[in-house]
Amino acid sequence: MPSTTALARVALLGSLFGSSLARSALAQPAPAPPAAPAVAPDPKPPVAEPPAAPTADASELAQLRAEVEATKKEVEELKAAQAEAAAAPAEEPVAEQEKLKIYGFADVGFQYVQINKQGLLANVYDVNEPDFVLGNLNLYFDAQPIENWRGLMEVRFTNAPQGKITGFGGLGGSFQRQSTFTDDSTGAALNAPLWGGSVVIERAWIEYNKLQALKLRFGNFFTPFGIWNEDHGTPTLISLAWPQFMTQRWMPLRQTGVMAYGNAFAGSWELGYAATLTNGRQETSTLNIDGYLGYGGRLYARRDAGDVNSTLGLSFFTGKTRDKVVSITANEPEVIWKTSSTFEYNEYVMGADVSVDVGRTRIRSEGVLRRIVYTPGKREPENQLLAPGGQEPDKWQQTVYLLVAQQLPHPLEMFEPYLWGEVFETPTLVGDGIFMGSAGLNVRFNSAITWKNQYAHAKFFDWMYKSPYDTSKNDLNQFYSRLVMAF
Amino acid sequence: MQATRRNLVLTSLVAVLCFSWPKGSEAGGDVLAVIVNKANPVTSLGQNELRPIFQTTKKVWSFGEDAIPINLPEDSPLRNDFDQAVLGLDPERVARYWTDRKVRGGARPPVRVPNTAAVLRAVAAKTGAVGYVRFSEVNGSVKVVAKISGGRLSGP
Repeated sequence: MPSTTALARVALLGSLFGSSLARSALAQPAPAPPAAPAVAPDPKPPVAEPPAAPTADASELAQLRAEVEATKKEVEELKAAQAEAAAAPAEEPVAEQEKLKIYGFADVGFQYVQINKQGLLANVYDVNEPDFVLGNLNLYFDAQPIENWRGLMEVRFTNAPQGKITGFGGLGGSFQRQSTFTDDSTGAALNAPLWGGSVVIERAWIEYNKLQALKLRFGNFFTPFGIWNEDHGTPTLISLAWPQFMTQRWMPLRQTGVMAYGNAFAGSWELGYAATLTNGRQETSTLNIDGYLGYGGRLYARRDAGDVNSTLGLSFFTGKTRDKVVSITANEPEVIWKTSSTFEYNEYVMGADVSVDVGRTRIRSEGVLRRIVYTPGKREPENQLLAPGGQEPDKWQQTVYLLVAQQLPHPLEMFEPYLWGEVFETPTLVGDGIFMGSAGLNVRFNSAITWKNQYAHAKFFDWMYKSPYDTSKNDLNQFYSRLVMAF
Repeated sequence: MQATRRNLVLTSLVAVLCFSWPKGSEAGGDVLAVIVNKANPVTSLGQNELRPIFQTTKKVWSFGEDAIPINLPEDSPLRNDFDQAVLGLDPERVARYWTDRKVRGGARPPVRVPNTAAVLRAVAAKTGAVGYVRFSEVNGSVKVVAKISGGRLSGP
């Protein structure tokens, strides 16, 4: 029987031997394979090992000691070499950002929108049939050619305006639908067909971002307003359907000009701002044809702490908008030009938003208030089909929505159902109130692929004004389904 | 009989979901050292300082130098440990976070290098760089400003 002292020595040597080799293995670069079995003994204490041979004697212990010393020396050499390599200037470039990155997102799917066939919306748009659709195909070109400068260009490819209804038949009109059909003059066949589409510049800006508190962005950018316009894309937005204040463009969705923005940190809170000076609305032209600039801004406070994240924001936009009409009033003895406008209004838009993520629950809410004041004699015409000779009044518009999404617990965490309610008030001929109730289910297969589904019911009603028309004719039921990919 | 069949279908569905749902990498379990360049005057960093730097919402150190966070690949167990301790996010949520940031047009994610040796080189070479390696890999070329052990961030 070996003595207790001998066993303890063997244990000590085994432990030292094992842990040295373990350190040696750990000191290798991460992807390196484990050490060869011949030099990878169990680093655990020897109580788990078979007892040393009863024949262990002084010579064996000496041999083991020598091996341990050799291994220790080897480890020290490896460490020294590694330190030297780390300290020495590396030949390969050290951790540089790529100068150009290209990425994007796309969604395809199905939709069905059901509206009373005598309703306005049922005839302005193509609905009441099941449609397979190509939704977004957006590409980002993200350039960072030198330090502290960055450019981002996002373009969307779309089949629009192919198929858009541009005229109605009957009562003196004729039905027209836009076609982008043409012959492919470069095709291999003489009469090869080709349908054109559009490339939409979603945004294109260049920024100087050296300073934390003051970064400057020039070009065409999304208006920093609320949640939706910032989240922007189908992979990021929870819902497929948009809130009405976005589809009805209560503020310009994108603008051309300059934006200053920055942020600062206080404990776990991030405080930030954005201020914009732009051409204002660009519905009529991308240039400042009305001579009035647009002013906007956003303040936010964000707490990002892993399981509980929250953002509070305030946004505003104001601007004066008018069109520009050029006329010739005389041509003798020379041409006399006159410019005028057919409409002109001031608008003031203010929004407040809250985003809260608590564990698997996501809550989003926005409220927006808009005031429009027309210049006397410069009111826009109302929809002439419904109100011949009618003119838009000065108006207040207001809306609020609440969206709550809940990711299910394991093992169903790929499912995220949500509920959304939106109330919208604006004077129109089909009722000044809209309520949208919606339920959706997002199925997230992984971080790149999501299958998004949503059913929504929109109800039009008289809220503060009495409409002369049957508002219920425009109530609609819609179902959207999109397979979304981010890449 | 019908109930048995329903149970069978439900069990199969749950089993399919369990097997098809991507699993996160196993935790590394190593003690990590958060390291900065030796010229960086910062002596310790907490979660409130590290998180915005690694989310690239904070890009300048208090001493004026650009903050350059250095990350390991997404499938690295060390990266997962770091993200969990500093960002409070598991790998799936980290991936979603950066997808959302890209779509929004936000600042780019940190520079990614292939292994801890490259992290050490980058941090040693750039004054504003900050990264993380196994504690046992730290050498004299960098300075430790925080430690991550058992999923918790603590002082150096």
